[in-house]
Parts: sequence; structure tokens; C-alpha cells
Amino acid sequence: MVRLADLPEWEREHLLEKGREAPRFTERHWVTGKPLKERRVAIVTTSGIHRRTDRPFDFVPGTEYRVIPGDTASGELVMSHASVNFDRSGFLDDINVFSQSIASGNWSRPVRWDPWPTFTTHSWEPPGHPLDSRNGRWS
Amino acid sequence: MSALGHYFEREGIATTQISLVREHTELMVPPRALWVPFMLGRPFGAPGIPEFQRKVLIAVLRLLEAGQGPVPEDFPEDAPADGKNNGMEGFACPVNFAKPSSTEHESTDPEEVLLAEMARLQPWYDLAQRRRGRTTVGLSGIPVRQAAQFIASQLGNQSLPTYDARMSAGEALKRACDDIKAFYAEAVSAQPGNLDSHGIDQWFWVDTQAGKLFLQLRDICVASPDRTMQLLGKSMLVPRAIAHTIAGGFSPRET
Repeated sequence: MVRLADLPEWEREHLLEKGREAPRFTERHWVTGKPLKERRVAIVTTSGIHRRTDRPFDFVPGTEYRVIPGDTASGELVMSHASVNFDRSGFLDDINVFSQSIASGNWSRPVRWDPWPTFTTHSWEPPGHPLDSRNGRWS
Repeated sequence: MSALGHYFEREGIATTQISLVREHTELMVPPRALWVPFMLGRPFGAPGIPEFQRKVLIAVLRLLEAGQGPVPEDFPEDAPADGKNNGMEGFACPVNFAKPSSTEHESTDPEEVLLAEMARLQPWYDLAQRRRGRTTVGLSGIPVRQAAQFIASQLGNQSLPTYDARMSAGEALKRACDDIKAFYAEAVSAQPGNLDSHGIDQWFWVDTQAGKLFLQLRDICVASPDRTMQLLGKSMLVPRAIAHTIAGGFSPRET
């Protein structure tokens, strides 16, 4: 986002406080893989976007998630993020401002795109297992 | 996103991410992160400019080619101005710029005021929907007019029963409010003037009857005995920027 120094003091202090609440990680995992053009890619977002037919995200951010299949039309996407403090006009004008290439298909696709897990803000609680259902919570 | 990066890598999945708040990323040290100087809500920079969005996407994917980490990197460019148009190309102006009706000026009934204003905006909303081929209205799952009636009833003496018993009182009201705000944002986006994000917020909260009713609604929610309504009123109805300027607000803890 814009640099903290450019923000009003109350906004700067709010974001710094959120940082003080954030978890710290001592382990440093580093996973490598095949050359980029051979990889499968999924986009994960905390924007709170999901299909119109999905249940909206809970009021209080947690560990629930939704999965958006790669062939979902942009008109089927809505946003139930609880926060009112970020821009939504970009999402209104162009879904690609959140998820470049998924909806438009105008990316030349050097990689294979997988279904798209989506969260809402601050999914900080550690999951016990990988995603194990199409729409639900970490179990 | 930084925490999710840690969790996925722990499970053996390589990750790269876009960071919007650099200071948070520095504290949480994800494996790979590209910090971008864009506004919250626009991780790929600007709507309607696929070339720029693709540049960001390539930059963040390139981090997967790094030999060792953690890799924090700054994206070197600011976002360009929006590539959107105001929706008028190819369309005739659907209505005259009608002034608010006498109902909006004289009525004190929240439902009458809200529905009259929405009726005036309806042609613009319809135009926006035709132009984009989609709408972001629909979270509540009820028609937008019913959402307006539900909201207005909270401001009167007798609240309508919830339209979805699976949701808490606060969640149901929040979804209805989100739909009304989306309706207004889409309607004004089709009007000449090409308001940016800040302009849309200012218009809604300062210039519309809906914005004024929402500010009243905030006070009602904060005073409610229902915890979900309190939460809605304190932090999920009125943006911080509005609360700190026109609403004479508080400093809630929010996302």
C-alpha cells in the first residue's frame, strides 16, 4: 500500500498496532521446485472473494476458506470481506486487480493454474492439515 | 498472506506473495514477498490496465526462481491511474440529472427516503450493469429493495425479522448494507465524473441520504445489546477515514 510515512497518524498507528499483534515465525521453510514454466500454480487471496452461490465469510476472520474453480465467470464473484477500510472500486471495475489472469484469460499461461483458494483477512491461525475439502475450514 | 506463506511452505508447497503492508511483511518474514506501493484492495495496481497487472504478476512469480531465501523485494513502480472509463461509451445517457425528489427532502421515514434515492439511481445502476456485464450486488441473497427495507426498519420503531436465520443479527445487517453500498457505488460509477475510490466514498458518506442513514445506523448498532451488532457498529460499517473526518468518530479496532 502507500508508504506508512504518507498516511495520517491515526492510520499509521492502526497499521503498526496490527503488526504488533501479528504472529512471529522462527522456522524458515524454503521449498523449491521445477522450473517456473513447468509448475502448477494456485492463487490464494485474503480478499474475501467467493462465488455468489457460496456462503459469505463469517463476520470474524478465521480459518475458513472458499475455493474458486479456474473456469468461474467473473460475474459469479462477490466479496464478503468484513472490512470497510480498503478500496472496492477496483474489484468493481476489474476483477483482475485482485487476481490477474484468472478471470480474463489474457495471460499466456506458462504454468498450469489450479482452483483458487480464497480467505478473508488475517488467517493467522496455523492449520493442522492441508486443504481437505472444497469449501470449509482447515481441519 | 505472510502467515499463509509460512503454513504452505511447512506443508511442502512453494509460495510467493504480494505484500501491501511492508512493515507487516518485515515482521513476519515470509519465504518470498513482493512489496507493492498500491492502495489496499489493489494488489495488482490498477483496474483496467492488464499490461501493468501482468508486470506485477511476472515480478511476483519470478521470486520462485530465487536460489535461497527469504526473499523480500520491492516492486519499483507506483500504480498508474485507473484504466477505467466512466461507462458512457456506446450508451445514451439514461436519465437527466434529476434533483432529489420532495420525498427525499421532506420525509423523515427512513424507508421512504432510501427507496426514493435508490429509485433515482436505478437507471445508472442498470447502465453500469449493462456496461460491465456483472454486478457485485447480491451478498445478502435478497433483492436490493428488500435489503433497503430491512436496513431502514432498523432505524425505525419496529425492526423487520431477519431474512436469513443462519446469520447473526450483525452479519445479516452487514450483508444488506454491503449490497446497498455496492448498488450506490455501481450507480455512481456510471455517471459522468469518473469518481475515484476516494471520491466514491466521499459522495456516499457526505452527499447521499443512504450515507446519512448509515451513520445513524452505526450509533444504533453500537448501543445494541447484541454483540454482533456492536461489532458491526464499531468497526464494520463506517470506514476509518470517514469516522475520523465527517463522522466525528471513535477509534475502533478493526481490519
